[in-house]
Amino acid sequence: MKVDVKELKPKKAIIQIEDIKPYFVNALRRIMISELPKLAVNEVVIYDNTSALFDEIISHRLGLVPIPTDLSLLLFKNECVCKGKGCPNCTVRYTLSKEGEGSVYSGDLLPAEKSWAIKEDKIPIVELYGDQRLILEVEAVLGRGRDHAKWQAIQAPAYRMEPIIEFDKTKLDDVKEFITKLPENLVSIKGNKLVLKDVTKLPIIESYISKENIDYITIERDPTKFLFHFETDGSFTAKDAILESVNILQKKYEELGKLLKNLK
Amino acid sequence: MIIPVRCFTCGKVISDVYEDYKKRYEDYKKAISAGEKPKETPKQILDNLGLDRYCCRRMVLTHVDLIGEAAPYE
Amino acid sequence: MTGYKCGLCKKSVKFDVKNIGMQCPYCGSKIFYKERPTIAKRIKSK
Repeated sequence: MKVDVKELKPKKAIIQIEDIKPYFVNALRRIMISELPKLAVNEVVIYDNTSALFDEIISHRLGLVPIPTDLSLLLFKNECVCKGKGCPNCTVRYTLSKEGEGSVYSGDLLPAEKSWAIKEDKIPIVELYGDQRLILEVEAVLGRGRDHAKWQAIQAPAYRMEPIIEFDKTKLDDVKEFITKLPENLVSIKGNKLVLKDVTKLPIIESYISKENIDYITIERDPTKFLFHFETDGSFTAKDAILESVNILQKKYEELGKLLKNLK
Repeated sequence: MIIPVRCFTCGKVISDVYEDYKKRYEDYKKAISAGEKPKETPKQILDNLGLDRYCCRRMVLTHVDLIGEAAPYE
Repeated sequence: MTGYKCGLCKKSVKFDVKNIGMQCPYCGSKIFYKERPTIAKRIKSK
């Protein structure tokens, strides 16, 4: 296996993985969607709400706000030492109170401890007009993406296999003519292959091939080379998210191994 | 009503860029109606705000903000 | 006895259950909002 990090931003990553089968990358992708735990608002206690939106809509919107998560400090509520009652080990509390003209933003949620402050503080929750008022308290707990989309930390994880574009060597002149019709700097000729400058632009060349009815160029995909890309919603950095996902996958196999040892 | 917090399709948080988009789109419209060359087109604004996929772009692009209409009623 | 808020003059009015044909004693308006009880409401976010 070979790994090459193409792009690593706080909330986005592109990683090239080579010499591996699709099932392996897919396992990682599925762990990212459904198994990686994150914090999200689960219960809302509304004391007063005279805004234009219903209590339920406001609580739904609060649930979707990403909360920065440190998994080393938190436990699942039902596995916690407090036995599901809710304690600082498993629940994070915020309060919000706002009155009078203006927007209520996710940054108005004030945490009990400064370290849990919400980083995505520009998300509008509701707009207040006149003397409207919104006072509430929320509880955020850990959850998994398989239970609700608000607990899905990673958005749009996907991989693409590397395309191999080959052509008939006897028709080199036709290929050269075909390339002049394409947008500039899209492909270059290398032996009997066409090399894409940007792999994401593959659909462009595909559409040109079907438009011109060309049969001497074939597109195949290499099932051992992957370009894996994903984004996080802000509850983790991209680096933490992929490391944690790999950890979860590893733990699952270890558990399976332990159980199989007892077999006779 | 009010801009959805996340993109319906992929789940990316899009509501935090909506106000910025609206402001820059107004600037674009002003420049067009005055017959000047706009500083940036809607496409460039969306690209600059980090909305790469077309699912997220349509969320911002097609949203109609109507919360002001419902505001007088509680 | 439930509290209502007049939709026109925003004053708090009280009506009896037996009352037929609600009308605001201050301004005569017939549109009312039900007043929100002061208890905290607990909802699941989903």
